[in-house]
Amino acid sequence: MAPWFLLATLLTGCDLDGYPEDLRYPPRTDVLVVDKPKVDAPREQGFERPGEFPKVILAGLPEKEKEQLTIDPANLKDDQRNVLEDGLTKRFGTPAAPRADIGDAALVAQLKLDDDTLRRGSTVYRQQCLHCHGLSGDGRGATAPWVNPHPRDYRQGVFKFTSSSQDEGRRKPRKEDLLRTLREGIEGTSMPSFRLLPEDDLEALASYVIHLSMRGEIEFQVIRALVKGEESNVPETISAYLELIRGNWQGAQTSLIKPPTYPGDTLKTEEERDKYLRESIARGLGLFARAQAEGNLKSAGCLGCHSDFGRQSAYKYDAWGTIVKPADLTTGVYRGGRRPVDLYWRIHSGINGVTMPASSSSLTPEEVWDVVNFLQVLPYPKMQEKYGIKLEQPPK
Amino acid sequence: MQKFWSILFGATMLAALLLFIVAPFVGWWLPKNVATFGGGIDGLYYLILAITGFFFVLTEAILVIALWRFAGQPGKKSVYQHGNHQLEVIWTVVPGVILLVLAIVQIKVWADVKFIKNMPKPDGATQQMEVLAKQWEWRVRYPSSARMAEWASNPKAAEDFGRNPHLDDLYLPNEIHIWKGAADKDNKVLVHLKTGDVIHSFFLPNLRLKQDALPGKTIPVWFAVTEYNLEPDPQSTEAEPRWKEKDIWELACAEFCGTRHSMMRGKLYVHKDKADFLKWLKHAEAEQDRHAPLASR
Amino acid sequence: MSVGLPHGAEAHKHPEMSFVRKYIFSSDHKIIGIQFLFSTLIFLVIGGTLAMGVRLQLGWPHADHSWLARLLNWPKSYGDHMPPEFYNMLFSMHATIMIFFVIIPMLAGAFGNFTIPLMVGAPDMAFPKLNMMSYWFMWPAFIIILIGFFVDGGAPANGWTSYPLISSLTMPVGAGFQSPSGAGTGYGQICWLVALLFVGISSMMGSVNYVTTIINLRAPGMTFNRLPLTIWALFITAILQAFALPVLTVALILQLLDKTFNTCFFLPPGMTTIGNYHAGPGGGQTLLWQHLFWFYSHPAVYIMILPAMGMVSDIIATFARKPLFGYKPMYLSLAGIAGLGFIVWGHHMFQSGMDPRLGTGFMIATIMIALPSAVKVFNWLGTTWGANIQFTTAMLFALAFVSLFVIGGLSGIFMAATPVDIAIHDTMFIVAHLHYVLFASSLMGIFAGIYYWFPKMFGRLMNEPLGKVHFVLTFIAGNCTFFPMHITGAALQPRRYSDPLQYKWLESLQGLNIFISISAFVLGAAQLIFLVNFFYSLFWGPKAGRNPWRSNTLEWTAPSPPPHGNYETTPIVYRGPYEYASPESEEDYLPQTENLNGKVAGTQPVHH
Repeated sequence: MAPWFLLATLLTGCDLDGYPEDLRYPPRTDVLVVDKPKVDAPREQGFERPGEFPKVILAGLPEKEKEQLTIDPANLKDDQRNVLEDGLTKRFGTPAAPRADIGDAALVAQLKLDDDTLRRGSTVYRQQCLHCHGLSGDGRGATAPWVNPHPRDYRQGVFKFTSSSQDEGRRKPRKEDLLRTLREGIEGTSMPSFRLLPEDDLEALASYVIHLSMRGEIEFQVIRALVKGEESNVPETISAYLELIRGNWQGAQTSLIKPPTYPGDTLKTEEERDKYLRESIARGLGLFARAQAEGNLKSAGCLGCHSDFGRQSAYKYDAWGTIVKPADLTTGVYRGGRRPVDLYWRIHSGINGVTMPASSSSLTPEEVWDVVNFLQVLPYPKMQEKYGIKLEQPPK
Repeated sequence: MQKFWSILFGATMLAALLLFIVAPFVGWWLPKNVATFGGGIDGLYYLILAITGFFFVLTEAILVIALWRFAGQPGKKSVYQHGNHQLEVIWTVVPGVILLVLAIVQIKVWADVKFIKNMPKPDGATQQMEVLAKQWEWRVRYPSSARMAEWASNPKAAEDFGRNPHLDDLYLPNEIHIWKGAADKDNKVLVHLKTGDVIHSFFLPNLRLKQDALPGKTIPVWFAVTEYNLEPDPQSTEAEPRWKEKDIWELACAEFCGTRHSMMRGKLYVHKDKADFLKWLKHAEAEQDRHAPLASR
Repeated sequence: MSVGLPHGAEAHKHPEMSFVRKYIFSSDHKIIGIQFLFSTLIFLVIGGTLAMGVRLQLGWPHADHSWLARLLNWPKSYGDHMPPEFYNMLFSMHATIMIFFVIIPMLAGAFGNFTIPLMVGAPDMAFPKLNMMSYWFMWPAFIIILIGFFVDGGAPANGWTSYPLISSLTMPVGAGFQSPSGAGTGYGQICWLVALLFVGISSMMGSVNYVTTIINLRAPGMTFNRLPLTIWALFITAILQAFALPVLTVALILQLLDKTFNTCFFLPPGMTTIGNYHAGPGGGQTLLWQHLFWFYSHPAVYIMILPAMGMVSDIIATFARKPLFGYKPMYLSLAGIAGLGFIVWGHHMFQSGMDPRLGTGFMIATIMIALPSAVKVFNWLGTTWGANIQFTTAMLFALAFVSLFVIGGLSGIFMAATPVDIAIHDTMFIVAHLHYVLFASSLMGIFAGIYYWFPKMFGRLMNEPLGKVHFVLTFIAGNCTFFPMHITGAALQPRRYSDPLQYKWLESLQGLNIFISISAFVLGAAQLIFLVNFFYSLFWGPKAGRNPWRSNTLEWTAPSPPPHGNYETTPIVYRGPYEYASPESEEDYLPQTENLNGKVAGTQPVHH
């Protein structure tokens, strides 16, 4: 056996795993989406046709509007681009030897962005993630045009399913959010579950994704600032945005949304719990379905986007210029996780990058639990019967 | 020089034979079988191996000898022979009988695994799960512990599991959990196999089990195991029970389903007994029913 | 029945034909056969190259393929890995090309066309113009299948079996023809379907011609019992094609309609969205494709081996200098294989969700089909026993056919046994079996046929020493490539896997996989020797006489190459094709047309 392995390694080079040493992250050439369109995606367009992405961003929009919402890195001057690339390589290394030279050793330790972990993460990423999420985490791998929704582009620094309580716009995922996504997958999409990988590999992967996201976001912000003419000194711009971005990441790790105790958990008897659920689900339905506030009955306005409980939602553009649909809540498939706490987080802080807004300013925590309880029974007609709710438009 | 060809053919066939002989001893062989019906399947495999091995050696040896003995010589003439009726009869009837016997002895093995009438019924004693194959993972639905408790007292309630999902059923990706169970009591597992998109195939090499999942259909699959592979981990606590694997048994997709067809990996976890399984199930349900983030995270 | 009408040969001469009419749009069966040969040799190189790509990935799944990324100009985002989509395309196109564009057109198109009129003593096929059309109908197929590599989404990547739903899904009306199930399932799949339709039409035209020619145009004295086995095999193959192809045509059209007109032949009801795209109302059945496809494709595998079996029988008898052992059992077993071949298609579908009781029925028929194949093997062995073997390259390949067909046939029995099939279905075991019967048998039979009939086709001899080098390398490297697959298959390594290293149970097999890949590279390289020999000999090989192999069959009495019309005078056949070592002759062979009573054989001129 050994002679064959020797022959094999001689034929293909010694390192069969891991990126080749001379491979560099490619400079960004695809357009940056800097603003979301004000309109919905046209219904005739539907989702991007297979193969349209990433050749076509903001599919269905007229060209003029696209130009207003995007920035083309081709407009960078050559010397600016070169300095940017050098700066990024200095701080973030290459795919084979990634590093996170971000000027905050404590954060590096906390997020495990040390060289060894990143290298391990990059090796696992290459085997499992590269073909969808692309070399620089751009979501433009070979598989990307053919799955819907498309793989996440980390370079915007935006992740949809977070549990951190930062303000919108600055919000980063906690590392546990990324690990949750890796373990559970995103049901209803092509992002599979990786829970069978060893725990260390998952940690390393999450670290590597954070690394790609930091690198990508700095590149994004610097290109934007340079092309718009807001900045001109590349190294200073890099440093400024690095400080901002790492601050956001650090803030996320210590800002967990902790829902108050679920009211059902404090009730002792089966009857009490049943009564609480019955009333809560009725309130939840009301909050969900009410188009506007009526007297002192609030409206969460969900039906506005989740038309017909999600079965006839309109197509919308997200922050990455791709097309999404508000979820069909009658299926019982939740991309961000099906646990009640996951649903709480989604309603409480919204979903980053898409039009799902935060409700934290308008709904009390108990009201959020009401909506969560309602959502949980929505896919199960028998449970709706049990809890005595009748929907105006009963799900088929 | 003419004899060289006989040697070439002979050496090559000998190398092939040697590979088959050596392979089991270096670990290049059938994976470990832990299914109750696996013995029948493996036995049939070995029977066919013996028969085909015999005929392989026989025919190749005759060929090699013929190439050696009858390598051409100038001036020589072959035997002028158009055939031999008796030989034709012998080598038609003998293989024919062998093949017919082979066909008949295996009918029961197939029927035992695949015929619906031989599958365990969804009564209270049968372990059940629903496996939804998707591009590119396995979404498994287990009955909740409450539901299983109901089945213990009311077996008829178990019949609707396949077509009636409950909110509190456990939904999990890529992990098949069962318990070993006692023969003739609760060791049989009934899987309701579905697909959410294209054709996949539910393949457990250690169970010698394979069934394609067809769009639009729910196909029943059954098996029972002879061993368990989960032991409690020494670091297991009441709050966070953990197990370690004595043996790794995997699940793979065996019908081409696109990009990640080769990466649809799952695992088969067999708990020692129902109590251990329920311990895991309750912990998993608690996790799924979580209303608060974990204290430590 | 002969075509000789009594009038003088000088009475009609064709006007001198242009180069285009003589060699391009020719209706002469020999030219058409050679056209098929050249076209399929080109596709052999393409298909073989794709196989090298498959083995490259399987041997080293995590290796650095930057050179490939640069060569094919992939976007930088792809990194240095071979994308799984690309691997899927490689094995799908390798199989499609080898089956539909190499083996079938080579055996039925090239050899069928070239040998049938010559070996039955006819001046040409019954329908020469139809024959020309059957070749030119392949050209749309050639072009369209190659276009598939360049369309958006790339060449089809669903396996050569193209099962719905992955291959049949399409976008809703008005949203284009891409597919939501992956790369290579949109425009590429449409190319695949259309190309195969043309291949089918071409084959059906050929079948009509072959059957008619063999029944109607045999020379006087050429009874069915005196036909060489090559002709018997091609005759039965043509009947197989005629009955099986229409079913494939239907299947292809149904899937084409699903992909272009949003019909739902294969989409079951209840799957309203797939992959978040709207799927359609459904109303069809996914399994329908498999039944229709395999109803053709199982006889297709016999189409791919029967002619080779026939050719090998003739070649072995010729070079053993001994009559074929068991002539009647040999053609009866050909018929048996073909007949049984129509009732075993379900053995590809044992695990498919088809009612398992049907599985039992198909199992019995499949196990029984081993019997006529076994009878053939014993008869070939009987031919070599007591013989006086001339080890020419053609003979070596023919003997290798016998030896390796034994392995291919025996390995089939494992899958025929339904319980064992549960474990080994869709593993490398079936890949081993299919390569033994298709590569180690059919393709070696094709090589035997090429080395054997090259002198008759081109009037020159191929180089024997080079041929023997080609043989030794192909024989050894071929076995080294495909035999270990029985082992990896027994270990249950699944097929069509771009990355087997994902699984713990497969890690220990990687050494074998690397060995297989290296052997495959050697095997591929060895074919270059054949190509060099072939093309060099075309122009500079030593000239061949009429009968360099001292063979009995009719074509060796014609000039090499035969002129238009083949025979100066209609042959008359006095005996069967296997009178070697006959006591009636001093030589060790006795041609079919040799009249031992001193009269000149054949006095009627041939009508053109």
